[in-house]
Amino acid sequence: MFALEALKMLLKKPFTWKYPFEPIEVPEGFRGKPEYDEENCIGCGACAAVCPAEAITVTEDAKVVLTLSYADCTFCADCEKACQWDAITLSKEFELATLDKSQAIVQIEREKNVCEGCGGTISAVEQMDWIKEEISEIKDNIPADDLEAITKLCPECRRDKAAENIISEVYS
Amino acid sequence: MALKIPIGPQHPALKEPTNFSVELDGEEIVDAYVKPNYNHRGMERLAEEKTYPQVLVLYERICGICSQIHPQCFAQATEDALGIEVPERANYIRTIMCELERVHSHLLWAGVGAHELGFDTGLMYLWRDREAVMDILEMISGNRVNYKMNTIGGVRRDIDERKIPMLLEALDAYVPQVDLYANAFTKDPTLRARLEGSGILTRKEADELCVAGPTARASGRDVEVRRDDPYAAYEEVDFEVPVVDDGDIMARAVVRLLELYQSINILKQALKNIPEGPIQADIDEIPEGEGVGRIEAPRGEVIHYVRSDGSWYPERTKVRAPSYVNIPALIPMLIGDTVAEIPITVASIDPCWSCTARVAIVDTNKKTEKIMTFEEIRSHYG
Amino acid sequence: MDENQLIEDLEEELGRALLEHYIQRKRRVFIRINKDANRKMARLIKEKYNGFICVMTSVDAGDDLELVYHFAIEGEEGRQINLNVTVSTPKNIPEIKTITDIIPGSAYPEREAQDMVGLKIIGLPDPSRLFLADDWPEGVYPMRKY
Repeated sequence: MFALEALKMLLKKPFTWKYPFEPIEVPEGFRGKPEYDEENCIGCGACAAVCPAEAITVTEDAKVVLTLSYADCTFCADCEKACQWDAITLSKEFELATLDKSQAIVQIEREKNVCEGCGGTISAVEQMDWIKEEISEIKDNIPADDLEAITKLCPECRRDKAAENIISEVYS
Repeated sequence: MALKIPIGPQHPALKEPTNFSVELDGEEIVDAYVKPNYNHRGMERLAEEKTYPQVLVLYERICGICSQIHPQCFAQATEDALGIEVPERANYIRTIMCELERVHSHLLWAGVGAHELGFDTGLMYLWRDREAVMDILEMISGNRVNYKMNTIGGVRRDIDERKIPMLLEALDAYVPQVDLYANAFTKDPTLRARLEGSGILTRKEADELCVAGPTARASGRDVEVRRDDPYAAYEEVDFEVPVVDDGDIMARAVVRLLELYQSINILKQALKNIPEGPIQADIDEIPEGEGVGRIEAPRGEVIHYVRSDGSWYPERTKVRAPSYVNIPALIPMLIGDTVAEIPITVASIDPCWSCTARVAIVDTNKKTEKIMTFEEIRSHYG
Repeated sequence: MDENQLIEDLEEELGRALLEHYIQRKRRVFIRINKDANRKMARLIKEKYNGFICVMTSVDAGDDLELVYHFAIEGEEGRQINLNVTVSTPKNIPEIKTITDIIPGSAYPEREAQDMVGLKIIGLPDPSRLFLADDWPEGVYPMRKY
C-alpha cells in the first residue's frame, strides 16, 4: 500500500512551503504585530491596563509615553479590543525576529497636563480633550468648581481638595 | 542485582522534561519511579495576581496543544462561580474548537507514536494531514496555537457563515485519510507486533488510579466527560464513546483513531446546527463564589476550580490536567516490559508534562546516585 | 440518584459531620464536612456512590487551611455528579488523615497539598515531595498567602 503511495507522491509537488524563499500567506483575521495609529491614540493607557503580558507600559515623566515591546507581546489582541479609538490594531506581519532587542519597541509620546496641586500627571492632553467633550453633555449637573478641578488637578489632589472643603464646611 | 537506569529529564525519546528511573533485571523492567518535579511553573500562584481575562491568556499557555481546552475550562469554572449564562452560539463555537483541537491532537499523537516506533513515514503523513486542521484553526481563530477564542461569558470571535461549507468539505476529506491510518495501525504486522500486548494497564489498576481519557477507555474504564457531564453544546450532538478492554498500547491507539471519526462526526453536526445569536454574555458584577469546570481534553479529563472573593482577581485557582492521573499509571504499564518498549509506552498515554508540572527550580538529586553535569557528559562522550 | 437525593443520603450517612451543603446547578454539589469524616466520605464515594477522585485543591484561607476534594460520582441517566467536599483544619494543627489507602488515585493530589500549603497528610504511604524540588527549603510553602 505504501509502495503505491510512494510512487504517487513522487509525482506530486512537495507538501512543505519553501519559506523563507517564498512568502507565506496568512488568513484574514490573523493576529500579528500590533501597530499603533499615532493620530487616533489619545494616550489613555487602556491597552496597557488590559495587557496580560505587561508588554505595554505607561511612563509619565516629561510626557506620557506608551511603550510596546514586541519581545513580550503574546498577540492576544486584548489591546485591540480595549481601544475605543481604533488606535491599535494587529497587523498581518509576523516576521519580528531581530538581533537587537531595543529595535523591537514602539513608543507613543503624548504631551501631558500637569496637576496644579502636586505637579504630577493628570492625563495626556488628548485624553483631557476627550474628557471635556464627554462631560460637556452633563455639564449642568456638575458644580462649576468641580468642573474646573477635573481639568486642573489630578485625582489625588481633587480628593484632598474635596476633603478640605468638607472639613472647612463642617467647622465654619 | 537490579540495574537502575535514569531516563530524563532530557531524553531523546521524550520531548518534555521529566525524571524517570527504571530498575531492570536483565531486559525486564521490575520497578519504575516517576519524579515530575524537574520543572514546575507556578502558574496557579501567578494566576492569583492577574485579572480573570488575563488568566485566560496565561492558562492558554499551560499547554500548546490544549490551548483551547484550558482557557475554556477556566472560563466555564469562572462562569459557574460568577453565575454567568453563556449564549448558545458561543457554546457551539466552543464545541467546534474543542473537537478541531482533538482531531489535531490525536493526529499529532499518532505521529509521535509512529516516530517512537521508528515508523517515520507515518509521522510525515500524519503531520502533513494535521497541517490541514491547523490551517482551519488559524482561519477561525487567527492563530495556529494559542487561539484566544475564549472570554469569560462566551467567545471572542464568530465563525463566518461563508466559511462553513469549506470547513465541511475539509472534514469530509479527512475520513479516507483516517481510514488509511486506522488500517496501517491495526493491520501492519510490524506495528501489531510492537503494540499488541505491551504496556498493559488492567481495568482494576485503571480504576484504582482514577486514570482518564483514552488511556482509561482503552482499559475498559468507561469515563468520558463529554457524555457524563456535558458542557458547551455536547448535550445537543450525538456521538459514541469507543471503549476497548485490552488495555495495551494497541488499544490506546485504536481508541484514539476511533475518536477521530467521532470528532469529525460531532464537528459536522455542530457546524450544520450552529444557531444564530450573540457570542458573549454581559457581566454586571463579580459575586463571591466557587465553580468547577470539567472538560474532556484529547488526553482525558481537565478540571479547573475557581474561587472568587468578589474582586477582579481570583482567590484560588486549581488546574488538573489529564497527565496528572495518567502518569502514575505508567508504573504498572512499564513493569514487566522491556527497555525497548519504554518510549512507546510512555508516548502511549500521550503525556503532557507541561500540563502536569506547573515553580521553576532546577532539580538536584542529593541521594547516592551520581547525576552528571552537562560538562561531564560532554567530556565523557565528546 | 439526583442531586437532592444525594444531599438527603449524605445527611443520613454523615449526620452532624455534614456542616454545609448547596446545589449550585445541575451536576454541581458543594458540601463542607468535619475533617475527621473525610475517610468515611472516601469510603462512601468508593463503595456506595461508585465514584472516583478527580483532584484536590489546597487553599490557604487565613487562619485555616482547606482541602477541597473534587469527586465525580454516578448520577442519574448515565451522567456524573461533581461532588466537591471541603474540609478545613486550623493552621496550627495542619493535619488531615489520608484517603490514599481507600482511593489509590489520591496519592498525587495529597502529596501536592503537602508541598504547596504544608498540610500534613497522616498515613500517606510515600510522603516524599512531588512537585517541589529536592533542594527547596523546608517549611516554605509556595501557595501560602496569609
